[in-house]
Amino acid sequence: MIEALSSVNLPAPRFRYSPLIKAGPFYKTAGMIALDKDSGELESGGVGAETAKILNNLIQALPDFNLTLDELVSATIYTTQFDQFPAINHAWEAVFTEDVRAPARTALGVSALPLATNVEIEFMFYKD
Amino acid sequence: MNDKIKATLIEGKPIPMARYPHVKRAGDLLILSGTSSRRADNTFVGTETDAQGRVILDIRLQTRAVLENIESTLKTVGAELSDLVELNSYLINMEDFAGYNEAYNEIFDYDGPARTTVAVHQLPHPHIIIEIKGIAYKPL
Repeated sequence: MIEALSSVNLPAPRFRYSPLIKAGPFYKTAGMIALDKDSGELESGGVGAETAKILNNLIQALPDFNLTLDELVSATIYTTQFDQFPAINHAWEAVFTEDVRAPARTALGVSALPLATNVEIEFMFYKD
Repeated sequence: MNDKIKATLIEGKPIPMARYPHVKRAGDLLILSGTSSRRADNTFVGTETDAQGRVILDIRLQTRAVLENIESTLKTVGAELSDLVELNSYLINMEDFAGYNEAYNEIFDYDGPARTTVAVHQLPHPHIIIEIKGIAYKPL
């Protein structure tokens, strides 16, 4: 059973893809960048602010999918600014505090991202 | 709390670079975080400094170490390399592809996990030239 899901609380996709697709108990987001859902503008405060914005966008939309952070099992981070990795981790740890069960994670430095953004993150959830 | 989801931080393994586990169970799947040749003391397998002070990075040694790390992570949660269904490999330099495959083929055959390999711009440490993440299928 595969379903494409969307939420008014996520920035609208700029191209034809599903913001979130459900395949049985697995929910996979598209790569998320730090767009503002209301203005459609990209966060301009640097990699830390971008990471925080992406995580916040995700958290705001989760109730629409009936998901919680507790069901987040995987995150893959892509950044063009690996020299600022500590800022990404700082924003990460503001959400994934000691009492939150964090997902498995992979972080990669890439040479370019869409819209010339600095951080993109994709997520996977599990809920049966 | 969903009891089909479980994060495992493995004692004796290199501590993750931020707050996340080595491996996470999601129902019947085991999802591994990106794994490098980093040792618990934060040195790296496949990184030697020669007499002139140059750092020599060896893709074969790093690849073997990454796969050994993945195997030991899987064993900790009751699984094996043969349970892997997918691997994503990230190289810094696609010219390492041949050496990487040579080490890879010592471990896996055509019946191994589905695999995708890409070259990326950077990995979390300048001495890391390969990182691999994977998913294993190990029903509860």
